Amino acid sequence: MMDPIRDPEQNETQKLARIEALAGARVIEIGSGNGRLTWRYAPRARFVIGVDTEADVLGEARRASLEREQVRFSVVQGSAEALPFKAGSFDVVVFAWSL
Amino acid sequence: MVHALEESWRILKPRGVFIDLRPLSTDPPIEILSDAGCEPAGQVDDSPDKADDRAADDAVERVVKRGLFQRNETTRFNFSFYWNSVGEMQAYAEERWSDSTKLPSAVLERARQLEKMAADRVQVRVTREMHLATYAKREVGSGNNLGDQS
Repeated sequence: MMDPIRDPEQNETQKLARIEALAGARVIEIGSGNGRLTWRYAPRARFVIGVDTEADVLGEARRASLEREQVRFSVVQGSAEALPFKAGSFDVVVFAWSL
Repeated sequence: MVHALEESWRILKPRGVFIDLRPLSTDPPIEILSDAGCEPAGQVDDSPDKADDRAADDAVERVVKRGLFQRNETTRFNFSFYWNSVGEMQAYAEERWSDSTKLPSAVLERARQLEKMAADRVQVRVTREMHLATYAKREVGSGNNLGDQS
């Protein structure tokens, strides 16, 4: 199966770039998958933690993050309904095609 | 979904922001692009996903009404997928979108006809309408609304 080219017009990136809250933010992304969306805003964030239920796509995201020196990124396998973080840990929660 | 939004509220700092980014079930158009122009082949049938859309909208509405979040901005934009053939698009849709969409046979047939009629290479485009909204965390009082599912 061939993956499509997604949003070459960069509409999604442009919309995310307008969200001021992401600048310098501690971000958690729910449903981060392979990181496709993450890379579009992560360079502006202080760090990003990706959460997904699927271990294989998180592995893909972790490997991809190693090639992106400007991004501070880590992953956690788990559910959005029980996140292993203390109250008040993040500036931004992103539901990435996952709500 | 409401539980996920409550959990988001918990881990956010005061005045933190949650971002809701997702495609809407609006029966996106399928188009065949070639040097001759852009020809519409029909629409993807998104009806299987409409219930999920409504559930997400309802969940957000509930936490806003309960005072956990305040709606800041909402916008819509287009997000396009491009394939090099109708067959590639069909294979992708069957593997990745089978739970949420259907490709009507008449639409597929027309897309294949348009693909054949195009003299040069074609691209197949499906354009989804996207919803992007931001919400700010609100502090709740001592009799807070967490756990209130009404």
